[in-house]
Amino acid sequence: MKRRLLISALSSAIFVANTASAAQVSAQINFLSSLLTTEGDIHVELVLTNHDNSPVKVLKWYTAADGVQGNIFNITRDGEPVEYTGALYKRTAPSENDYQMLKPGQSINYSIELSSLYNFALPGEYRVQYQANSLHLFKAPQNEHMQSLKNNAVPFAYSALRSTAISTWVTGDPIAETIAANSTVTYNTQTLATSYTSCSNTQKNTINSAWSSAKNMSASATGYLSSRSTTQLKTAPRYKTWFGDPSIRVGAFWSPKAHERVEENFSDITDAIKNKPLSFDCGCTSSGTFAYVYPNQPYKVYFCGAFWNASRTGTDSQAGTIIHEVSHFNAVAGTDDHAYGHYGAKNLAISNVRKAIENADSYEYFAENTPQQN
Amino acid sequence: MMVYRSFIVGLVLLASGCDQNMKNLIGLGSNSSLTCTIKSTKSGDNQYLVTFIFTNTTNEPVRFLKWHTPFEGWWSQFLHVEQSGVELLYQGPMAKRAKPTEHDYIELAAHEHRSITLNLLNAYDVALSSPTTITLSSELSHPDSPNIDCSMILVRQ
Repeated sequence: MKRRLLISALSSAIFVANTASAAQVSAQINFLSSLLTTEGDIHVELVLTNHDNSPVKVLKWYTAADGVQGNIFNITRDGEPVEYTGALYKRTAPSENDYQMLKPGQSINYSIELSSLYNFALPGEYRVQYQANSLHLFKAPQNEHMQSLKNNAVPFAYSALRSTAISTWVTGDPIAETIAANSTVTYNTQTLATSYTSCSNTQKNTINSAWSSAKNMSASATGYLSSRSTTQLKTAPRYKTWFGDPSIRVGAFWSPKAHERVEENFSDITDAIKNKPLSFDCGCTSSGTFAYVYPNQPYKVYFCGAFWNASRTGTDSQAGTIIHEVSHFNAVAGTDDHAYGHYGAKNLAISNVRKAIENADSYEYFAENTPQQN
Repeated sequence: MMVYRSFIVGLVLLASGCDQNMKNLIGLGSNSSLTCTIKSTKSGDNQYLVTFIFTNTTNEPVRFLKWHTPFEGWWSQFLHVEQSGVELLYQGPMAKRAKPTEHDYIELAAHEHRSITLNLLNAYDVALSSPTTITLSSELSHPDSPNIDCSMILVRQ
């Protein structure tokens, strides 16, 4: 009986502690520039301030301390809700390291790019509000013991923190969510619907241009191969540099010649780039990686740090990277990575034709054709 | 093109000495001094843990690129995994890389060994109850890739 009384006394104390901290922390957001377009990114600043006399801990998952990790904004365009397309994390209960301390009177500012998290690809009037709701949002340091009790046994306080909503106009043309097909051929545009995850407006525009260059590059590679015979390719520097001897059989003596397999693969790469439903993820930031795919998961391409610094065309370019990645899909050419870089790919063409014709970089460099060879 | 792999393996002898050239190319570095071992490790639910051990057998330090080795995790198809004579499809990612940095290398002191344990289920659809043949051999044509070759028939623990 005595124990039960104690718990209920604790529970009301916790409730007070929680609502008190909630009331004492404020959130404010501002746009960092005033002229916003679909060509550019949408930067906002989030400011969290502790107005209390004692320190408060805020759960980082609902701030931008490690980047935005969930749907913490209410956004509408012309009154319609805008969907969150950023990352979602599966979590266990928060630990001490997941909290950010706000000292009495302290403010913390976060700079956040919204177009990689929410779809800002259409012009219109956008209304943005920060809103975090969680059982675990706040933690008053002196109440840690009671907090842990709370999780197990007693009624909890559901905390919320929100800013006032701010509005802005975004001007410009809609960013194509479908990548336009070659105008001379009619395609079913339904299958060309493109989806983006964690890609900002600038990144979406970059991908669309790179995709269009990749399409031309791949089509021209296919054209080069289909217009040349085995004998012609034997003396063609461009072919020989990247794939070696065109006449070697890819398997036993009745199997296709190497250049026939390469041509077939290029024709499948071109078809995939033009006609398949694509999806892009820009969440990877590794600067040592251009991109990656899961070969058995067509047609999703993950772009990483090195991709954004690459040139549009030429060696190790954005367009070439797309050809490289698309060639990996088992449903396309099922290539592997046997060698990276010009040096490695050239060596492969000399030392092992069968590996060269299943090496992704060899396809990329043949298509990029830089420096140009005939 | 993996479908053709068994054809290719079977026809290595018919090939015009290509594979021999390839071996010479990778073996140029000091990395032929590494040996590898593969063993099964006690696994929980949804796990098929496999431990890879690289040992420097020499009296000198050995430095190697960890791309396409177990030490960078599932970022390439560095294994051949077979069950009941059928090669399993690699289901992990493949990455296009920029130039390697210091961070992409591992150095082992004289006679040092280093191990890493990976969950096979993160990259292969393995049947838990049947024996699995795992082959690790360097197929990446890079001067700093380790020249290693080991194969083991494992039973999940």
